[in-house]
Order: sequence, then C-alpha cells, then structure tokens
Amino acid sequence: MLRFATRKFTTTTAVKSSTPTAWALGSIVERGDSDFKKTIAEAGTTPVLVDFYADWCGPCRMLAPILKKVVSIESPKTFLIKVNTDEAVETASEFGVSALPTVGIFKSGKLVDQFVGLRDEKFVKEFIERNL
Amino acid sequence: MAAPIKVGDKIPFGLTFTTSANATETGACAIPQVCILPIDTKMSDKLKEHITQPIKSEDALGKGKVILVAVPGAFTPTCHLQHLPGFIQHADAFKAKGISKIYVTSTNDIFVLDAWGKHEKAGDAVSFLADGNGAFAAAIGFSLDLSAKGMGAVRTKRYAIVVEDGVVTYVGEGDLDVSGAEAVLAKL
Repeated sequence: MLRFATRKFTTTTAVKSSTPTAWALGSIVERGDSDFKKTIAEAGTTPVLVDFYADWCGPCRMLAPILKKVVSIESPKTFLIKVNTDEAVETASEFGVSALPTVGIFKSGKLVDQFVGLRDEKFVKEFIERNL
Repeated sequence: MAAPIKVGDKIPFGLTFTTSANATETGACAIPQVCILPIDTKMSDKLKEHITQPIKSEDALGKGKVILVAVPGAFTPTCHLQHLPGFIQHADAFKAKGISKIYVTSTNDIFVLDAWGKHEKAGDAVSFLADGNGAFAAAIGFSLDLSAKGMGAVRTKRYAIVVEDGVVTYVGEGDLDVSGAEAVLAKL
C-alpha cells in the first residue's frame, strides 16, 4: 500500500494553537509561552509579523483589522502571530513589551524591527515591505 | 505679557512644551495611541522612545548652546518656503559652530508641528516644541495676536534666539534678515 504525505495549505482563516504547522503565508495564528518560539523557528527565513496585544487595550482592537487586512492580501508575503500578553506573560517580558500594541517582525528567529502604538494601513504596509 | 526678552536675560523656567513621540518615523502620527502595560519596573528607555514626553523649558533650553526658532504657524507660506528649510539645510554648519540642538516652536499643537517636520524631511536636524497655549511666547514677550487675520489671538512672533546655558546671547525678532538661518549663522 502506498502512502503519500499530504500537505494542507491554509489561507486566511485564524487558527488556534492546536494546529502546530498551519503557518502558511497570509494566515493568522494565536501563540503563547509554550509554542511561540517553536513557531518562529519553524518559519525559518519567512518574515513573521507578531502582534502583542491585550483584550482590554483599545488601540490593539483598532489595529487588529488593519493587520488582518494587510497580512491577508492576494499575494501574502508574511503571516501573523498574535500573542495575548495577559496570557503569554513570559514571551511578552522576554521581548520587552511595555506598551501595546507592539508589533514586531521576525526573520530567521530574530526580531528585526518593531513599532509601538496604533498605526494606519499605509504605515503597516510600508513597515512590512521594508522588512521583507 | 512679559517684556520682550533681550540679550543677557535668562530663559523662563517652568514652562512646558509637547514633543513628538516619533519625530523620525515617517508616516506615523506624533502621538500614536498606546496602552502602557501596568508592569512594576521603571519606564524603560525603549518605552520612552515611543511615548511622548512633555519637556520643560529649563530642560530644553537650559544647557549647552541651542537655537530656538519660532514661527507664527506651521505650513504658513513664508515659514514654509523660507524659514524652516534654511535651518534644516544649514544644520551641519550650526553643529560646526557648537550648536547642540535647533528647536522650532509655534503655538500649533504637536500633531501639526510633527507633520510639518516630516513633510519638510527635517529628520533629526531640528526638534519641534509645541507651545500650544502660547505660554512660552507670552513669558518671553513675543505673543502675537493674529485674530484680525482669522488665525487666533494666541500666536508667536517670528524670531530666532541663541541660548547658552539658559542665557540669551542673540535675539533676532522679525523677518528672515534677523531670524533666518543665514542671519543667525553670521552671528555665531
């Protein structure tokens, strides 16, 4: 009996942390202290956008749809990891997150750029472009 | 309003200016909305970079050799075309003459001043100090009432002053022949 390895390519739906390898371009995933580093490592050289947020933070709620729109474009160049700083306390502290929203971009496991506070769509697009 | 400031006077202390949280970040508004995390540590240097800090007159103008340039309004024709660009262009020449900082102020709010600076590609050549209520302008006797022109009663006259360790060493109040970059450079 032949067995084929199958690959599932997800696109723009948000995936909870129970699916470890669903990080295709354009996707939005939620990660915490137990799996953030692993996902960053698995991404390799693919640039990864990370949104440090909290449910009670108004500017975070305003930034979320902007990030979603920019990441889920037709030819996506990155994917988004959302980190809830109330839950993933260690991860937030490790990356020195002291104000929200903090959005970082990781490449090959390293934080290469970040911004703090609400921004508009134009800024976020340019932020990603210059860090690809 | 106080009497107009003159050479030899001390800069008034205790007045506050608003500054931009990200003067060199193009495309970002001067004070982006943020939530500060309620963590116990002292405000880190990294956080300070992203949060706007009001600055006191004694901290901005009390130490070193600095220039304070004032315009009645950001983006308004004369200033826009002639006053600010001169100081941006000659920034290196000013540094060579020992000027540690060039400040630009007006009674606009910091959002307007910051956007003007980014529009003029000021970068880190000049820093903007918003004197929104005109308190500093009044304290040095350079308030300007432009209500006849529909621009409000709380404006500042156009000037450039050189301050050394809090003491005024040059006052050029008026047109660019005394307040422009070239005029000030010639006096240094």
